[in-house]
Amino acid sequence: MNVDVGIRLQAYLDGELTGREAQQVAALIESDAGARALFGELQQTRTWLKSNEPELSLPESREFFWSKVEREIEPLEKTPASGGPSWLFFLRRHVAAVGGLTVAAALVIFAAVQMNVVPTGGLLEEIDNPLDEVGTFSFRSESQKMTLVWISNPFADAEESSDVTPMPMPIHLPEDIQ
Amino acid sequence: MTPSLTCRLIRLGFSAVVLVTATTVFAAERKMEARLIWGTNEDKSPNPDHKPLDGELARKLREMPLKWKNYFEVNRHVFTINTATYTNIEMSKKCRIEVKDKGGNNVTVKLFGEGKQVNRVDKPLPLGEVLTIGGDAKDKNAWFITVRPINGDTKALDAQKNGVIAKPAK
Amino acid sequence: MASKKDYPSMDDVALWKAAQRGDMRAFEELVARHRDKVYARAFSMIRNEEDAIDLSQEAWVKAWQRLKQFQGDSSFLTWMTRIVINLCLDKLRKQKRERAESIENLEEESGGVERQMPTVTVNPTERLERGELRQRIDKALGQLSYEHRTVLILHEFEDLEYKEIAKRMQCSIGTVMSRLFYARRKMAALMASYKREELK
Repeated sequence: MNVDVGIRLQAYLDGELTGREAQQVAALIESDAGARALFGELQQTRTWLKSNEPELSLPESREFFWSKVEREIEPLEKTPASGGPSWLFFLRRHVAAVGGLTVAAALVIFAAVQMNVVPTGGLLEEIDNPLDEVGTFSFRSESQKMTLVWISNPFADAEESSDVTPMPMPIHLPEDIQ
Repeated sequence: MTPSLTCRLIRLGFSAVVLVTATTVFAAERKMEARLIWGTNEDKSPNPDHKPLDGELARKLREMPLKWKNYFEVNRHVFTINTATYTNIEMSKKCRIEVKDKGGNNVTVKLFGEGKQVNRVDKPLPLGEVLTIGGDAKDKNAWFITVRPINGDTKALDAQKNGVIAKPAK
Repeated sequence: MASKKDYPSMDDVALWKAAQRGDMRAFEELVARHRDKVYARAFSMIRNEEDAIDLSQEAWVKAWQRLKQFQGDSSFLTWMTRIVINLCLDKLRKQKRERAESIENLEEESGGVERQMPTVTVNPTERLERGELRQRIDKALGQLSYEHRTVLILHEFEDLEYKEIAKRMQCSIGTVMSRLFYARRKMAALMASYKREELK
């Protein structure tokens, strides 16, 4: 069963299809045994999940947990002294200037990055997959300074499947790399 | 305007054109390395000519949380890239990459399988960084193409020895 | 002298309105009443007891800070749960940036495993007592990757639509759909395998 068909069955189950799309899927369920079986599985899974959310108890006593929450809340409740503290005046006078400088610096850095002047390691990247059937997943290891782009080929076993066209993957068989 | 001043201006203009052209054509060609690597949990690669991957790249791959224990180098290519054109590298019978310098430390790497572009990655790739593109291969093995900048070494540009076809892409 | 209130007998609406006026005892009652559910949501997403406790605590503190903005459009518990979910999502995103993911998770993401799962036709939850069923579901949830588990929790337990889930997880609706599809199929397969193990 094609993954796309399965996802449409799911969307129908979840009420996420438009009227016409829903009718098409309903007709498919009616006519195709495989689709009917998969729909049944999805429906069954949704039913037993929804009504059986795992229940857990917070492993700390009521008093202990509340004491931690209360300790964090209480400082928020303290009001400033009348007339305003002198630190507020200090903040207004100095932090505003520092804040302005920070914004200006950020703008300079942003512009430098846009002009590819500043090396950004693996932080800025773009990955494009022109083929719809191929997906990618990327992750970066900062310690190894390595970015891995993993190309998923949903049709890697196309030889075994009769209803899909093999995707043009770089290496598929050992003889490709000899 | 006197003839001598005109001549000077023409010479100056010509020199400027030559300088700009030279700068554009020869500007900061970066030396890169690409490797095709086979990842497996078997002790040997199916091809006895493949040597076990060693060195810094092997260490990096082993430190990554990948499920393959053994890596074999299928081939290695050293080439240069520039900002004007894509450099084409044939990694295997069925796949190739095109690499271009995008300025600063940025590069674009395109992966082609059986003539069709499969993927394109644009990213900063300063010295010390490695871009690895990988995917499943049969029998739960994996293939990897690593691309990284390397220090300049003209002796390493031994395209004939490595069987590299490193030429500007169309 | 303030009159004594019987906080345990007050409903949530009365409690949060009193808390909005600064009544911390009312807020304490809300914490006592809903702390388990908030913790359960955090744990189901984070799968780490210590982190889940910390995130629950942080959620309650945030709730106190934002209480005046709460208008009662949803139930208090729904509002609280959304706060802890957002905190969990932030934490999971941060953890993902800081560590490399295993290739096993990448295989999950690509759906490479999903296509191999046969359709489960027998009900794997049949004849299970509720407590046991919930334990198995919890065990199966722990075997999903965080992306798949999150989308499942947000859809099945929080009743969010695809669009809303996509917004919260900062991904496309297509990604939500494929992750949810994989997650459901994987859960069915896992529950079926637990049943087979039990029968052996």
